Amino acid sequence: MGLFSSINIAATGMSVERLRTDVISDNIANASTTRTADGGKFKKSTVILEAISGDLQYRNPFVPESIDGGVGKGVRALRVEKDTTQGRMVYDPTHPDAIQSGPNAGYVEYPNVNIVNEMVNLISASRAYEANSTVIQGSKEMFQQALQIGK
Amino acid sequence: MISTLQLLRSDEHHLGSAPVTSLTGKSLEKTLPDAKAPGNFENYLLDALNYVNGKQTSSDVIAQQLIVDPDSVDVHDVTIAMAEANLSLTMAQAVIDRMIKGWTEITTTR
Repeated sequence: MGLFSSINIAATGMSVERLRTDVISDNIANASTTRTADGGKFKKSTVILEAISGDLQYRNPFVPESIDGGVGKGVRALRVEKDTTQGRMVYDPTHPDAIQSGPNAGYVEYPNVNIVNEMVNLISASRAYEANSTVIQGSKEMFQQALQIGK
Repeated sequence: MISTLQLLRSDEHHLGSAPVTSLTGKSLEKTLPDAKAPGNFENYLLDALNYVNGKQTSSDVIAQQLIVDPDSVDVHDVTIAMAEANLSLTMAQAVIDRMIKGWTEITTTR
């Protein structure tokens, strides 16, 4: 429990929400993309989050269950993963990226991005950012209240 | 004694690196050998002020970084650094106010 630990923990949450917003923005921007630089189809990205644990410490040397990291140190983005499910198939033989042969001939594979889901995730990310900001405000007010005691 | 004071300049943002001399031209070096002893209130206070100063300069650095390279830094990192600097300074101010209040109460004892 440091002077600014709650503020710093909330800051990690805010950074993560910014990254989620970036990824959502990329998904929405590429919602109609039919080709990528590496030749494959565009696939939706998702951020995988991981908790940053506190320092491991033995509360009780006789009970292994008491291995406890204490209060965590926030959250971090582990990696950005691609969702490899098949995208939306639209029949359009005149499209330059239409599939030429096989059972899906004439179809164009659009990305597996669902705009509605992305918008919901965007609202979720911006509300979470707001919540972390409120935590910082609350922590700041507690600090200032504590200083008022000395007055 | 004022000649026992030494200006701590761990940060190069402050007054360059030239040695600081007093108004009389004498060097403001510490004359008391035990002034650096741990547990000394003066050292405690100066360390705390150094910490506050560090917060100020780091918020300065990150604000400059926001201006010269906006993509490398998040806005909330800048505002949080500013808030931390502000809170540290407020606390230092509170401590110093209490010290001065104690001092005046002692000196005005009748």
